[in-house]
Amino acid sequence: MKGIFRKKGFWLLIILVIVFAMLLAGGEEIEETEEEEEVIPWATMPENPVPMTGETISVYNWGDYIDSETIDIFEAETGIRVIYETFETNEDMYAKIAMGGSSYDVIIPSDYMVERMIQENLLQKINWANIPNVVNIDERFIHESYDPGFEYSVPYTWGTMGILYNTEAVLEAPTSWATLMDETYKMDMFMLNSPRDTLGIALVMCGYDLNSTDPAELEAAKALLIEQKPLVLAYVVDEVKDKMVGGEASVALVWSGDATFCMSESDELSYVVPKEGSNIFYDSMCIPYNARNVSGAEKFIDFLCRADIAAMNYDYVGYAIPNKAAVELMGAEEYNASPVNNPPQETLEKCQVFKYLGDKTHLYDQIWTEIISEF
Amino acid sequence: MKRNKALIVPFALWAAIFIVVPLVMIVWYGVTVEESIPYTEMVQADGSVVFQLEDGSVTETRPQKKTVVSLSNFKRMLEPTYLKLLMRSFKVAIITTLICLLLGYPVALILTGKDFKRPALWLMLLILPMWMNFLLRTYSWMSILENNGILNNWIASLREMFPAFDQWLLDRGVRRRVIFLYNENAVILGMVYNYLSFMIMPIYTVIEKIDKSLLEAAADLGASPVKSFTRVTLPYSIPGVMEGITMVFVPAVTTFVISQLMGGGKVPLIGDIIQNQFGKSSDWHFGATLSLLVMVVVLAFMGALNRIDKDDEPVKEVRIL
Repeated sequence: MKGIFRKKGFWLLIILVIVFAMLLAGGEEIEETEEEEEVIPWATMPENPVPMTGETISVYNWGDYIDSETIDIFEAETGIRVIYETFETNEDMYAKIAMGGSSYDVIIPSDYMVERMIQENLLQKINWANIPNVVNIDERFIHESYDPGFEYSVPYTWGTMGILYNTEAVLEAPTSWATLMDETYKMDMFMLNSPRDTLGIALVMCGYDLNSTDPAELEAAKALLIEQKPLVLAYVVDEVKDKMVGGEASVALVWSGDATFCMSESDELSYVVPKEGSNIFYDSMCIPYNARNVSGAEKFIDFLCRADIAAMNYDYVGYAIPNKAAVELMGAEEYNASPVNNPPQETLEKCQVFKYLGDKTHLYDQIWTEIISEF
Repeated sequence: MKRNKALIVPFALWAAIFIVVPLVMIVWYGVTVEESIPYTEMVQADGSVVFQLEDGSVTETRPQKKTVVSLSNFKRMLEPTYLKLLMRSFKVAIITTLICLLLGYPVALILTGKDFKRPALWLMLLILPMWMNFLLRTYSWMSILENNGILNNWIASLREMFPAFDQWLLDRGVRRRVIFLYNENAVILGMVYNYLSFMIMPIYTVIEKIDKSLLEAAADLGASPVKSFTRVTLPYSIPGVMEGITMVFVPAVTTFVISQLMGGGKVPLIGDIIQNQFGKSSDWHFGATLSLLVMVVVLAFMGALNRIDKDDEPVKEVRIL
């Protein structure tokens, strides 16, 4: 018995040592950031909430894309109950609407999906008379390329694609896409594992249109990305956030939303929209063709356009907002200090939205598969 | 007997809804493509928009896509890009299965050994991590192996402590950080870790059930431990091995998340490409065609394995003994 006990103790000791060593090794990484920012509520619950009327609206939005407090305020102010559901990708949302089985009153798709849904008669025109707060939307962020005539959608958030870089690790702050071809960052950069995004940027780097479907231009973009391959540490998706915060690489192609998150986690990171121009994207509020409660949907959209509510959602979501009244309310100087919210106007003018390419989408997929399976 | 036929109804219904219908849908998606109808948009005098089709007819609603039967996706599937990816998926899955077998068989054997105390507890300890979500397990491996991960931090502190070791590594061209992730070996490691218990379990179950008196008889008749293993345990454990191979190989050949996370998108497997079709690229038809290809190839592979299985009748072997 004594022998067994000793043996057990021995193993226990080994396990303890390993666990302890791991804790020590891991401990260096963990830096507690205890900057508890004081939260100033832009809007508060009304003192005398309207009793529930039994009226409901159903809202279909991206996950983690609204401050749930604002929904409570809306319910208290109008007496309309909000049934709130979330989706992960535009395609998930599209499939659900296009199949026609379920009915939503407000959905928040991205630009190219708005374009596609308009083409496929899945959205209805918005009656602007019922959305007075639309005046809060900055004209700079009304892109008619995906919603001709500005009839079907109200922009909710916007963002860009750009370079997230570690200020401690780069020699000089990047300003151009050329950084992504720089040998200095060999095996030290992340690219997005996403055909449309990465090929789109490669097209811009070649000086072509972001939405090109010209086989010769796409071939040039493909050649560029194959040439770049030895420099790329990995083609990542959501993991890019953790990895950049953890200092895994010096530069990465990212969406500005992810950049905002990373910069809030690490002071060493900064973001730039390269001067050659980039992609700009919008997530917009729309009313699907089969909405049951259009007037409720209009009230909700109008509510989200209100300056105080948009400011609350900006604080929570962190994506740049097209709502100039909210920016003014929050203080334009502080808001514009972030490179994510305020790329130079001349860069912004060179940014384009992704167009819905229809049958041509598979061209991108084919080329992308050829690039990553090059081995 | 006739009365008992009614009992099969629930299963038949279940099979119809969850097996036959999805299969038919995959085949249907696989052999069709979506084609858009060409049209021109015209604004009329009153400002309304109409759409003119190629045959001259005019509609007020925008013409929608139609689904047509076409084998064009099969042609696309046979392009070298996709075949190369399929080959790589098989290679990675076969290596994974072999490693799992080489690690799993001895473990199962040791656990069933008569002088091993409390095998159930050890088996449980082996299975316990599998109760965690596999994504979590894969993310843990990532944080161990990352450039800035636990293992690299250990190596870095060792280098600091022993300059000679640092020099030795530098002489071999190892930079500050060793890049463990983002290659095929990392993907294989992730898969072996995730699937190992699927190999151990069936082999353990089968070996455990082998009649111990057979082994005693072998020993009584003068067979050495090695001989009684090769003539009794091994032949009788083949069904467990086959089951283990199936349970590891099939998920391994179709895996997608592990290859993305551990391989950093640089080691795409056929599963990743199929997943892309249903996600980012939104081309369900081509995704279905690719899944059909994988299904057929895996089926053929498993069929071949089963033949080997049948040829190995363990009873024959024992009779010789």
